[in-house]
Amino acid sequence: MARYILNRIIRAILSIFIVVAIIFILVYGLIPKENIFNNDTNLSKYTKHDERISYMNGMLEKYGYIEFVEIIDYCALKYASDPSSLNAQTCTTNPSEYEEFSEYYIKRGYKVDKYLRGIPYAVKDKSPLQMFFEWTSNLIIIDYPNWVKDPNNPNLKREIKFGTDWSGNPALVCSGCNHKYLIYVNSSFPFIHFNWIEFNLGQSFPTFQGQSVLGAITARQGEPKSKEITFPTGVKANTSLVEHSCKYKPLLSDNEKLRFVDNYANCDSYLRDPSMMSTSFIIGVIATILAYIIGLPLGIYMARNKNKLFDKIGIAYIVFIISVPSLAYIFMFSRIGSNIFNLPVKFPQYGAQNIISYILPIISLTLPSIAGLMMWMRRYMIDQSLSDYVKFARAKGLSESSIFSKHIMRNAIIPIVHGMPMAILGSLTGAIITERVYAVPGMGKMLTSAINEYNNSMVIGLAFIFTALSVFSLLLGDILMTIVDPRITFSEKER
Amino acid sequence: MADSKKENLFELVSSDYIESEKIVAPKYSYWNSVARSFFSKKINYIVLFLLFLIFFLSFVQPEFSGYDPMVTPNINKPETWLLNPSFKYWFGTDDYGNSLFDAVWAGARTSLLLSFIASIINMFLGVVIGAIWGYSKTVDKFMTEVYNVVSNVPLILFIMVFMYIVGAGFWQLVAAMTITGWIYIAYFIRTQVIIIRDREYNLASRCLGTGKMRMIKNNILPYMTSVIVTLLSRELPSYISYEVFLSYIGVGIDNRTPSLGRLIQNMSVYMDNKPHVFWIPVIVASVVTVTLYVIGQSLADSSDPKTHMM
Repeated sequence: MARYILNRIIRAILSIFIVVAIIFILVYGLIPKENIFNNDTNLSKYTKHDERISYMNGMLEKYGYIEFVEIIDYCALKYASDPSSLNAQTCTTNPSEYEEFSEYYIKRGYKVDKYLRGIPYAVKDKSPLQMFFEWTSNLIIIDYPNWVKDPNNPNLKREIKFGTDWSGNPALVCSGCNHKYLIYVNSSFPFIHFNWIEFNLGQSFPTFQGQSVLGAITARQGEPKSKEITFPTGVKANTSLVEHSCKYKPLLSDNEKLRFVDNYANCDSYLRDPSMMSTSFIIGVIATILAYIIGLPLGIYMARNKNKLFDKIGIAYIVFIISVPSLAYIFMFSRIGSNIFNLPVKFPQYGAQNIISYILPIISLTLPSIAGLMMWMRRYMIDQSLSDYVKFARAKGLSESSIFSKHIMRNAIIPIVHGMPMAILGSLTGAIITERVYAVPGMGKMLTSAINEYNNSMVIGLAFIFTALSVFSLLLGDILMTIVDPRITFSEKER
Repeated sequence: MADSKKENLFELVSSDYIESEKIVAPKYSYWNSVARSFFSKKINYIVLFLLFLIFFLSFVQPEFSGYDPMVTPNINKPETWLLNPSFKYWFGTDDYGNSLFDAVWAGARTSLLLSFIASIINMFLGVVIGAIWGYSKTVDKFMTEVYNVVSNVPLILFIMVFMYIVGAGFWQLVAAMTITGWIYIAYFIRTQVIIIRDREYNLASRCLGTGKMRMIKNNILPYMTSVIVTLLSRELPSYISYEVFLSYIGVGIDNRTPSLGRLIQNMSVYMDNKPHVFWIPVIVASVVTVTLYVIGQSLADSSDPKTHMM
């Protein structure tokens, strides 16, 4: 079994990367890369031709689309051994150097062009496959003591040791790493947290500029929330900073010098509202649990009263949910909720702190999934009730209710269990229509807005996350099924 | 007296060897039975009438109205915007002063066309590839690996990413729905073929020397018809729902083509002030999908040979 699971995990990871590679080739191969500037507000600041070209190429290089060399980079490379010589000083203004620059880069497959003011620059497109390999190799980032390269701070200690954080809890403290606390403990789930290893799905552009793809969807949202904190120097202040998020900062402000004993002063603020992913997850998980609690008993009840009135009403409801476009019934639920029960239609009206905001989105997600569960539970129950072991049980003289609860249900629940991890993990990806209708600040809008704003790295990051969640929830479902039903085994030897 | 009457009634028949070999059972015709089973339910007449009405309105009405979302003669006449339903405008008018009735049925035509084209392509590819996939063991190994990769990815993610790459539009949406859509049908058909292929009656048939084509035509296809119709009854409405969903979130059909999803998206801002302009397209979309689903399900029930013996 262990061997089978290992095999499955390897294949799962492989198929995730195949899918991501295909999407990489399609997205970066077929969409003109200049499209990323369609919704970029900064571009309009650069009115001159040269400035625009320099900005656009700089951005394209930063986000991994091209390699971009200007004369200044070339001069720094050429005179690296002797930066103070006369040649090096005049290199950027010397026309003969321009000639050499053009020759040097044309030979290496670059496209050389000139700014209007006469200075050349060189550009080389990267192939989508190359971009995919760069993306993959940067997928996992491990922090290490030689991370910080700060010429102004040559005496920075390079070490990892056990220590304590500001409030005295144990932590693995690093000096010289990007993060100060590599591993730390606090009271929130899952209690032990890692900064040591980070996933990097690329940088978001043009929306969420300056944030990573993963950061944009997992960072908390809303207004900062402050509380009183004692800083390492003993200064007490009302602040929203989170101590464990502190990163290295080369230059400290005067205020920061009063508060921090070292250069780890670049800390995140604690924001009031949960992140997009958590918002979607909270709504999705509650809706999923409610759907199972309500849907399964209703499906069982329908199966026991087959072809009676309740069964017919249930089937009508199932047909309604399956055939009507989801848009229609979600709008219907929202109208009913606001007109009859006076619930808020827009999530931000009361905000993430108020429970009332969650009611309608949760109901709108629960009601459709109830239909699906009712349908499958009823179908499996009826299928099972026709099988021989049920006839045998009946012939033995068992009561109908014990046949249903002890025999049929236990067999019918097995395929239902398979879908559970998918339902729970899938709620991390958000509900597109529901979140849009109720203006929920969740994951559901991310893929659409990324598509509409040409945020390529976000599209790929989300595709990776969605695929990974789907692949692993299928795997979890299979494993769960073998636990519920000992007859099912995946390893060939035990059979 | 009585005896002589009896003698007249009966007649001596000699035993006929050839006649006794004939089987006296009602002649069975598959499609006649399907039709008899289908029309035995009164509800199916109503649904069929509704279906014809929808087709008539969607494919004939736009020919007369000539509706084009880009042609807006009343755009500068605010008094013609968002009117209530009247004799002149059966569904009222939209925010540019065009008749909503025209817009809705032109949109429904696009949706129906899209769903039929996508379904036909997917069903054709799915059934052909699925049949080969089920029959050949070498193809099975390869295709199962492909399926394992593709089925891991949510279909909606594939469609959205594909629409992102090729841009919004009718044929783009058809391509997005068919690029991986067929594999789910093919997998389903493959499983069915594998189940039926090794049934005892097929084994017996093969032993008696039935050819492969005859096996497929007479032994397997009748079984698959009801499966195919069941699949189709789920496919057709689902593509209409996908169109509405995708156009509503802005990655479906472009603005130049009339479509129900676009219409619903454009009208959703008037939901509070003029609810009818929003709800009418939504209700029409729902009626179309429900009709297609119900008729498909009844047809699937009727096309299952098991129901013919009742």
